[in-house]
Amino acid sequence: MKSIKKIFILGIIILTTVSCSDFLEKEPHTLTPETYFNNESELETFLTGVYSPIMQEHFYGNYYPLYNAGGDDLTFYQRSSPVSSILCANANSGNTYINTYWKILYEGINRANILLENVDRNTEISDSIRNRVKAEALFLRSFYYFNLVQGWGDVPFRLKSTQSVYGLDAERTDKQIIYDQIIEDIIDAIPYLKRSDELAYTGRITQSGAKGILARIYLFRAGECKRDKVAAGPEVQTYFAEAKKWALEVKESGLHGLVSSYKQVFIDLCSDQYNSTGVRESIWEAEEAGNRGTAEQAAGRVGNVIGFGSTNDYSTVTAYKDLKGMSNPGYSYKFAYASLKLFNMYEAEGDTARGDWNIANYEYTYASTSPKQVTGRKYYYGKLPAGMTSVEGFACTQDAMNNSNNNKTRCVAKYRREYEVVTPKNKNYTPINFPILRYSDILLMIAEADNEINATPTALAYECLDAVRNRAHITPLTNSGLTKDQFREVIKNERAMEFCFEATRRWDLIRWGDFYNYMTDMQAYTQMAGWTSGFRYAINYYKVSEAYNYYPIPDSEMDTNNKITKNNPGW
Amino acid sequence: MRKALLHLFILVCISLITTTVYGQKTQNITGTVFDENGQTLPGVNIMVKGTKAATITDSNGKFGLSPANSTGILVFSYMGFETLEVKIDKTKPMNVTLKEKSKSLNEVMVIGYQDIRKKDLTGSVAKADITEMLKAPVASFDQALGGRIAGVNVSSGEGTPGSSMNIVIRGNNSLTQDNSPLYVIDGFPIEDPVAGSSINPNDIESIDILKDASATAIYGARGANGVIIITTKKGKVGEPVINYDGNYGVQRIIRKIPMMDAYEFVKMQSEIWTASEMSGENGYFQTLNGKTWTLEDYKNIEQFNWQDLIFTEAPQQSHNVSLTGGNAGNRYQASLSYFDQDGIVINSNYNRIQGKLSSSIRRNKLSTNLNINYSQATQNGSSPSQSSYSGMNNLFFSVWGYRPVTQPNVDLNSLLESTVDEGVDQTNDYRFNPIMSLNNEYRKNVTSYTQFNGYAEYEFVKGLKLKVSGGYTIDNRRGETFNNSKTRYGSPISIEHVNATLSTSERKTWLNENILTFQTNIDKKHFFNLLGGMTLQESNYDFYSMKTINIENESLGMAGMSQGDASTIISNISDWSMLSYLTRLNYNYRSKYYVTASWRADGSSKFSKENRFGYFPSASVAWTFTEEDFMKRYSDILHSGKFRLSWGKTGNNRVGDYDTYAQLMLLKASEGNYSGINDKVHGVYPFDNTVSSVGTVPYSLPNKALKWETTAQTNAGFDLSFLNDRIDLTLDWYNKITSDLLLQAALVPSSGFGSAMKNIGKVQNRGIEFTINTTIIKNKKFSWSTNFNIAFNRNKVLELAENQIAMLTNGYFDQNFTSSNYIAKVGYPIGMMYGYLYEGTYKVDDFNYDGTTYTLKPGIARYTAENATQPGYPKYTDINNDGIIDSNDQTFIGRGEPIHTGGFTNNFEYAGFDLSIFFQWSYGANIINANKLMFESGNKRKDLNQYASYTNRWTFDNQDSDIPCISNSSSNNLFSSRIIEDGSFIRLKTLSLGYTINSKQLKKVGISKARVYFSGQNLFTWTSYSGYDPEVSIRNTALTPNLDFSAYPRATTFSGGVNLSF
Repeated sequence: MKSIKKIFILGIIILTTVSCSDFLEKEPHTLTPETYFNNESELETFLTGVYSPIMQEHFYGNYYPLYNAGGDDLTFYQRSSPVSSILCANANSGNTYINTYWKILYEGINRANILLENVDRNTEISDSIRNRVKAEALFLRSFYYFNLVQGWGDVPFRLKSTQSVYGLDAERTDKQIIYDQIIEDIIDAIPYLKRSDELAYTGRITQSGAKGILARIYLFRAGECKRDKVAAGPEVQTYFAEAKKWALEVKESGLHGLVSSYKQVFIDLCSDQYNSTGVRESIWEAEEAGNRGTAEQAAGRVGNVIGFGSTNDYSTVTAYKDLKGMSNPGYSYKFAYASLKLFNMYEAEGDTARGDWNIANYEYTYASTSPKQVTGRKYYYGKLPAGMTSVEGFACTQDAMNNSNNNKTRCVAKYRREYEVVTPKNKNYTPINFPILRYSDILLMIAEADNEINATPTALAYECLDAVRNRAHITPLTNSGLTKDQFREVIKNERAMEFCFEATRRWDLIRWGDFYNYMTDMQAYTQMAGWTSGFRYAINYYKVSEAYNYYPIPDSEMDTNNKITKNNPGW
Repeated sequence: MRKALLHLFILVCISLITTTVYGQKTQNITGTVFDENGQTLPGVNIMVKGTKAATITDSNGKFGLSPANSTGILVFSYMGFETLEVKIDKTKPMNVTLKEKSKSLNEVMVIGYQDIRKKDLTGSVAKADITEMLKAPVASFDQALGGRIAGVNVSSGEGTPGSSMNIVIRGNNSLTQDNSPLYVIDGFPIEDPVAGSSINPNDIESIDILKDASATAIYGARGANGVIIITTKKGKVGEPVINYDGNYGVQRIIRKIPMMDAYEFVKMQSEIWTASEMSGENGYFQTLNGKTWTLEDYKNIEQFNWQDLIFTEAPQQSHNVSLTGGNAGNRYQASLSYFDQDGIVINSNYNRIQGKLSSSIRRNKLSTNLNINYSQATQNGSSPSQSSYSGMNNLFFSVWGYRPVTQPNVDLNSLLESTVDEGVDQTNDYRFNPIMSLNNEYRKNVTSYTQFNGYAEYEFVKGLKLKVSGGYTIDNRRGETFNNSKTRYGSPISIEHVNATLSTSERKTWLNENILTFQTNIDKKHFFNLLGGMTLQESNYDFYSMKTINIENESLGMAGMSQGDASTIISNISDWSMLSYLTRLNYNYRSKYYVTASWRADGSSKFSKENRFGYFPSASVAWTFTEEDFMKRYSDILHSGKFRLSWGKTGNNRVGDYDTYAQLMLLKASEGNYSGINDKVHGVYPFDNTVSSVGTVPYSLPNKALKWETTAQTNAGFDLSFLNDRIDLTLDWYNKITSDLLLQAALVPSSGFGSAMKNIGKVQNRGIEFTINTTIIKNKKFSWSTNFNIAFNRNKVLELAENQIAMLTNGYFDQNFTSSNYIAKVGYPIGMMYGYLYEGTYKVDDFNYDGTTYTLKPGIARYTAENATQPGYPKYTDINNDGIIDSNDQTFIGRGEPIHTGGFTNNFEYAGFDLSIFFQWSYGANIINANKLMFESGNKRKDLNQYASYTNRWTFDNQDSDIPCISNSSSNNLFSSRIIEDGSFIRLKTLSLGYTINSKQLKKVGISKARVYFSGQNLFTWTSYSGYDPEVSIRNTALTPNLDFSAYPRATTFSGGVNLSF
């Protein structure tokens, strides 16, 4: 018994002297910022996370080009029941697409901040790698802020990573302060980025890409006075000069050119190729990949919601789902249609190279019985290429003239699922990349900026403009004697025809101060002959107010951030 | 019944007997001890007064004693009975009858780290009547607990065999975190309710439920949700007794939901399809072989009722064998049990095998106990309600939706034989042959639970004891999923083809407790009991899951998993530890005035150093006023009466193991993209079109300030006993305020994070609980006793995150219904249902009619997304009167919390028969019957059958109807009062009739006791709810209660069994 007593006492002594601080100390079996950023590969995987917002469905992967940036005069939503969105001119500050877009931009910013704060933790990683990672993170942070400023104007400006769940309220920072900082950051980053000829793909930001985006930022900054309806200050001219300077650097790098066939640029996007002709026209793309077939979720919905495909789905039909091309063009909701205004622009210029690609020039014909496979293409009247009777063995026919003339509002077809190479084709998800920056934009930015800083269009301006027009096989304008104002109008139309459905038109209209007028003018357009009568409900989608020059600050931010008490005017 | 109760008592008593000495060999005094009902009493202590000679009665109540002196007095003492002194009579066998003491007041209550008699209790503690509960033919104790104890709300989300129960004690404290109580099984605290269901109910000695803070505070940081203390049986002194209990039963579906028959179905199709489609080559009114089909042809035609095909009469059986015996120094108990239950939905099953060993050894001042319990429970069959993405993937969408009849040119049996209905557009409708999916989807979940625990207790000097205990549990789970080519997820048209998933997890937890108690008294007036101790607990968890897809040969099942292509692999490891100090003082003065105080300090690895320790004090007082002289004269009426008052603080630490840390996540698998608007982090960016590109992203923020959620509770109560215990009454009032809620709170989005665990918000629960036990009649032949309990709880949100006045939540069941259907708003209960107020359908009078089109009259509100509202469309209240019905017109449409819940039991005994009738009810809660959104809405989905109630839909021929007409209006899809139903019910939950055979014949073959019985479960439910069963909640959280969509229906069980003791 004595011994038992001793064991007890001993046991108690041992147990009570267990150091409680050690016993209660548990380190997570998960990755933490403190234990990460040790080697090159960890820097790269974190950088992948910084890029990630770009490809999300709430950014270029699906909703942004359609619901947020798609609300312009070239597009309308092809459904009579509106979706609550900017696109349908019925948004509010609770809007999902606005709220989540805001949120993922800030997620990207915070990730970039974390990476910037930790990139130098291990100085044994070579300088060149750390500098490039730093430069890409710095650029992406700036790019996300530019998207915020473009959308909302003054926004909370966070240059340090979020470290605590408390004290997260932040005031809106004057957009000019943000512009100054992000421009400086991009300029700092450029020398350390890869050159376009060093990469075989275009999903990563390069020196050319950064310079082009910088030019875009300057142009938008130059138009802020128009958006805010204030007199242009002297700085506006310097913004145009800077825009020209940076775009010109891209041109003069000699790394880029225009692909002779306009449509090939987009066929490359759809078929998982990068500048397949060897000409680097596509400078920066948002990458999407795969078909969500297994675990990966890297596919987006470009082509499925905005773009062209079959109205019948073959993704569950065993005999067809693994086929490509006409045999299985892939399903598309065809939410986005081109307005009659855009159609008429192309018609006026005789622009078929771009017009017949960007606006559907045919519809599929289908078998009458399930699964209603594609039997051929029926071209709209006048759109059947001469001599074409079949494609891939599928018959090509032409619609009656009257039918086609009554029906000039047609599907957006810039992104065509027919060209997808990943099989089986998913009903809803596509590997189609989204074009963020193309060389033709560089050229038209040079032309536009140059025109603004000179009294009349210069040879350089004409050269750049006509490079784009020649590629489209429309009349060059060199020596046409346009005034500065006329040249500006030409640029506006040229940009519409060249970049429609690439999520830039809305911003162009805003920086030109044209947005409200152009949109309200569309209301009359919807009642004109040629606007398919069944689509005239689209009149409601053009009823925007002046408030639409900005997005509303999302409710999710207003509800939680005590330092933002006032929304943008009109919201 | 009485006998069974007594047996139970014996177990308690014998374990408390301190000195037992067997008599000598020659026994010249013999006899039998009986209770007042003439039942023999085993284990009664018998002493010769003034000597050391003593014995106890055997299992038949007989004793023999040979004292040195043949004269003198025998003292009979037995726990729960009045001590009796009888003069020795050697002339004949002595027959002694002991009188029961006040039963209820002497009941031993297990209150955590010690036991106490009920009369000495100062807090609110309830004991479940395990004998009563055992009468229900169920797999685990929790399935029989509902309605038994006031304030303990027990419900199951649906009727799946083996599904665990949701137990909430005195209302929900926490908004986003788990509200289930702490389980303490033989001293081992476990937060996971699965531990409770791993115990064979026949092995349970007692279940004690700690409700108020003075009782739960001893469990400190984990006590806030209440504590359920389960004590398992230990060996009992006496001859070895073998007990067998076998039971066989049959379960049936309680009710089926009437669906449209072929005639009504085709009639509805004719309103959905165009006339030319109907008469076309694929239409229901086609011309085939010269015959043109009409609606009349579908009357009495051969057709399917799919519910008849998937529901079955399901057998269930259980077998328990137990062995117990021992002497004063060495006692043992062992049991084996097997439970097997088929589900009423074909191809579903739950079974459990379980074994237990317990050994207790006592040597002078040392007593030890060792327990081993092992159980393995297997659940087979896929869940009908838990598919994550589309509600159309859930079983009953297909069961109800599958059409009863086909077009004349389509063979009716093709529906049975094909995986999908060929007529259905598979791209927008995921209906799948329900028979085929049930028969081919292989789902097996195995939970193996092993518990070792033991203690050694040593009494140093009288009253001073040290108890050192240790325990170790291993909770091992394994999930197997196999989708062959005839299943929804593995068919040739699926993306992954034939696929298999294996997941395993293991949680190992150890515990050490060292408790010192000291008990003494001063002049037998001041009684002290002081307890102090420290405990250590640590838990390690790991989880692994792997999946392969595109499996070539499916005939091997899981064995062929290696043939597939590797897909998702998940691994996850975490751990936590706790260090606690605790102390409690019990003091009473002459059993009249009681004071109890306790204090616990809990340190947890889940919190950062600064906030690691939480301190949880409690204090309570009680006054047995019937001990006062001025009350003595009323003692004939008011036998005993006590007033209790307590206050205390308890905590809740149910957060993630590493929620205080900033964490990164390496993402590759399914986290690459937002699938909607949820908070999913995302990280993959496919450089160079490479889908395997992997990204790392931050997914949580550090929160070093995170600390315990604290619940302060005040409780006041009366325990009254009238007419010599014929009527026992307990009344409690409580007020709980939970502050610093552990809340997954929304963050400022521009911080880059959506939400984080924060200590924010405040919730109140106030309530009254009332229990009355009566013994209406009690004599040797007949007895009738009742138990009635009722509880009222009022829950109220007092505070949410900064500035937030309401927190909206979506109780998810389908990706097309993601608007918020629940709201937690300051000033109102958690879990209120939220949506539009339904006014009925738009009537023709609401429109101007120009001969072709109906146009809404000015001033009549329309749904915002509707360009052309038509007669028969659903009409909602325009609360803000702006002419547009939109999200600003949403309001409260139902309540998730019942107004009162309770139970009512009647027990009768007559001449060997025992009858027990138990009712349970819940009053005042609503149910969101989301099934109606798809099956009483006519969303123009072709060939989707509807509830029979939808035949009464609005049509121009039936303009009074308030069921919306067939349209694809988006206003059909709103959460509104149209689909809110009254979930009140009263249920005849358990009925049990038994007969105890008291036969000498049986005794001769060695059977000491035999009882045959019949019992029924869920026999009848009175409710106005139109779904399968009103006890339903497929997304059961505090925020999203009582949502019904494709829930597994509940069964009625009829069973019979036999209970034999050898």
